[in-house]
Amino acid sequence: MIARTAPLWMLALLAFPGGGHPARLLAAGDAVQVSQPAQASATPSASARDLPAILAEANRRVVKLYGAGIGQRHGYASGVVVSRDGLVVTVLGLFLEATNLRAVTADGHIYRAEPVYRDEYRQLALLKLAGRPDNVDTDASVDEQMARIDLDAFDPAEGAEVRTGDWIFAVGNNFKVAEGEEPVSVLKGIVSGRMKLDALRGVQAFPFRGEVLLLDAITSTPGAPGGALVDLEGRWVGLIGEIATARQTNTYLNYAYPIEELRAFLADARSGAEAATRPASPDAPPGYHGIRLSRIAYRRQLPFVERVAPGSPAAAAGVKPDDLIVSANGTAISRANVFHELCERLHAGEELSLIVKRGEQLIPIRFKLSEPPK
Amino acid sequence: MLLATPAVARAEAVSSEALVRVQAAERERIEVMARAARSVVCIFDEHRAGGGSGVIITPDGYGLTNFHVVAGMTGRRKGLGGLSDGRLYPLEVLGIDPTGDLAMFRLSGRETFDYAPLGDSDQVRVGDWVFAMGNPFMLAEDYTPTVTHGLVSGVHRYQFGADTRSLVYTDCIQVDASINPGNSGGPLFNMQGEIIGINGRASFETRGRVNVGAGYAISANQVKRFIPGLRAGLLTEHGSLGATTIDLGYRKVVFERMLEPSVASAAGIEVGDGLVRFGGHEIHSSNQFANYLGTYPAGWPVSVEYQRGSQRFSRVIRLERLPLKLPKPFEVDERINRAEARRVLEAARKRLGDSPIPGTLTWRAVRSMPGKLLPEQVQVRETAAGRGEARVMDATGTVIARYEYNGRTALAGAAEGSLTPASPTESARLNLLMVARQVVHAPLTDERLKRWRHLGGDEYEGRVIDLLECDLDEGPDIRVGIDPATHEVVRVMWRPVDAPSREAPAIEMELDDYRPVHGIQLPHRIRTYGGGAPAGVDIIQGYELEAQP
Repeated sequence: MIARTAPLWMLALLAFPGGGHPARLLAAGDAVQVSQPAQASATPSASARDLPAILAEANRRVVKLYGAGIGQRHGYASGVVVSRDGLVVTVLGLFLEATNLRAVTADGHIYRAEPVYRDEYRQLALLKLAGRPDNVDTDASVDEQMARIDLDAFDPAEGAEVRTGDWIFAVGNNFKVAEGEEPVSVLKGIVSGRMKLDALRGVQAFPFRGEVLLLDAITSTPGAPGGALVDLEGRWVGLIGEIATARQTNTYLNYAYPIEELRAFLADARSGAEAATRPASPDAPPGYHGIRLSRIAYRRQLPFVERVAPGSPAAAAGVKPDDLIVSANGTAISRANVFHELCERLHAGEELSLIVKRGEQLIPIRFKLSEPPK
Repeated sequence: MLLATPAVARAEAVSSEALVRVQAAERERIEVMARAARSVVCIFDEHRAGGGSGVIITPDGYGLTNFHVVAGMTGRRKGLGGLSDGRLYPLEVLGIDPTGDLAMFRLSGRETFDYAPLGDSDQVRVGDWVFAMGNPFMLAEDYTPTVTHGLVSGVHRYQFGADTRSLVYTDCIQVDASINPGNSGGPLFNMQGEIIGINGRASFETRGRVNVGAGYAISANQVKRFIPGLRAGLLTEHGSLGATTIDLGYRKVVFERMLEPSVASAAGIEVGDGLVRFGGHEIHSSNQFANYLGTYPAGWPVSVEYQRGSQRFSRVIRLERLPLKLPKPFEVDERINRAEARRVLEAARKRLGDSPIPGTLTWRAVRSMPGKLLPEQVQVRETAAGRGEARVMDATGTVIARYEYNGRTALAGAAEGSLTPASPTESARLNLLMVARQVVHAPLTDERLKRWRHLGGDEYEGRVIDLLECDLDEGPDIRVGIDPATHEVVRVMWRPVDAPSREAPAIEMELDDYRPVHGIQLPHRIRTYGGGAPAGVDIIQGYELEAQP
């Protein structure tokens, strides 16, 4: 009857067993006291609509994502719908590597989701939902079943910026408590600050160097990342980041990408995705970057930079020999060939947005391609 | 201080009107919390070890907590409860609900206790403000509860148990207010200070046993259904349809397997039928069905709507028991049970009249039955205590049937000729009222009280009522449902309520429209149900008293 299975940790009961000394539990616990700015002394109230209505609307614009998980890394997350035809922003995570990544919309329909753009620097991804739910309502008419995707979506242009101290609500599928059409979870909090993170994701350094919103709501939990952050009026103000820990203190960081960063990501994703899918034009010559990749004959040719032509666009932008190209225009570059094929489709004047690995660091580099030198 | 709050930080200037509103809201919140705090209990075992929380819900000291808080105290039933006045009070464990993780206790040592009312958890919405109270980490040496404020993060949540039969949290409320070890059994309040849930669990993972923003409370409306049984010191059990469902496509839930016999099959459900509604909720998934099912005690009447082809059926089904295995047996304390039965019966007698009528009653009724165009006239006459006869007449006044009840069985026959055993429905219809009258109106001596047992809760017109069973001298045992709001007997049932079948459906009657007759209150409308479907309505035109010769 119940299709779900429960790992043991889910059964977390809260009484102290007889005989145990509570003070010891407290002292030994991993509780971390995070200092918070002054809390509001009155319950916040929204201006026009009441909070339950605002949060219900936000719920309709968040999807539950299910993909691949390995060991401690969770195979599920949340995503924010940013266009009515099914574009979804989420965090970059292992779950995206599933062969059958699925998105469950607020009405309980299950869609196939396809990553169309990955941003290794920001650690964000853009997904496209397939045009028809997998589990078709057999009572619906054929027209209805074949209907074009039409979802309730946030308009990134209407998103709002928030400041330290503003109330926020985090809307995501924490601990995948919600299933099917069940609404996702909502946590309240305030923006504790805006800052750059010095953090770890797993054992890797967190590459993003831009500002994030630090939150006092507990969002660094499985399932919450990729969820929406809204303000008291229900406006989209941020996206909950992947689980990360502070490098210094090893404590979990609750943070979100601010709306400006999300808009920039979406702009990159649109141009990147468009360029990546455009067929190569035989007439116009390809754009010139000046990068030569290593030609050492490994079984799989890794995209290491061997040489950067002096005075070339890549040299001017700071690409260096021995950089490993991780992604270009949102496409993961696993082999040198993938990079070459991608660049063949680009023309002079167009942008190349690279993420390179230099030592332990991921570095975003972006420049415009030029005409090939004579 | 106020100007630094985020809620007003945006405003260019805070108007004095807004400031006054904020201050008033703040004062009100502080008052609500101060009042609520006085009902919260810190629970320890009799050696002052262990620890959990609880909340008092009546002025005479009845309180709720989690089963897992008092699981170690069920042997001697003794514990201690600390209140915000800094004192410890003796605590007695009453009934338990191991499947739903609930238990009831009673504090003693004071004339009256501060208590908190139970709210309507079906009105709780995501985004509502709430606060939890209890004793997390056993911080309060003086038993003053800790308050944590937060938001309702989710409703109708399902949290798995240790197995399918214990500590399952169904239809629970998820909050982001900090819920930590020690909060177990404590109340979740809405901002009016009403209890909307009993906190008991949290999602923990790799972070140690501390709050990670997801706590769960057993919803108050589920709790309400178990309270009568818990007060009566019972081991309450959860209900089952005896059938399981499977999801076949989007929002399509179909019965997949069925036990035989089971209450589902007795109600006419077949494998392959679609489950449309359960307990008033539209069912879109099997998980949702499991979620709502888990909130009902065994024996509870639940409306079920199912579909076969294009045909829809609606039945009220009394759930069967979901068998429960306990690590150690729980023995019902007859003393607790009988005291609760006495309390309910005495209140009913006080309301309905406690002087037995010196004579026998005759009444006339108009009976409408499904499928019959014209109503019939019924005349029932008690011939002696618990015995009677009846005549049924058609619209022209011609006698078309007659019945006799001898205290054990009913006989039926045509206007003339011999009598043969009557159908269960007819036999119940004939004698129910007489039995109920004797059972309730007869003086409640200690000797008579021994025949009564409190069975727990039941539902009547959406309200939770008390259900009691009486072992009668003559005839089968009967069950009566008493509405705690009106103290009226609103339901009478015959066995086989526990194990109905298509051949022997459960017979139930609902009594209402009580009016005074010869100094006592008697019902003037009786609705009869056979196998969960309506079987007729009797509107009583008048009662007449025949003096004893």
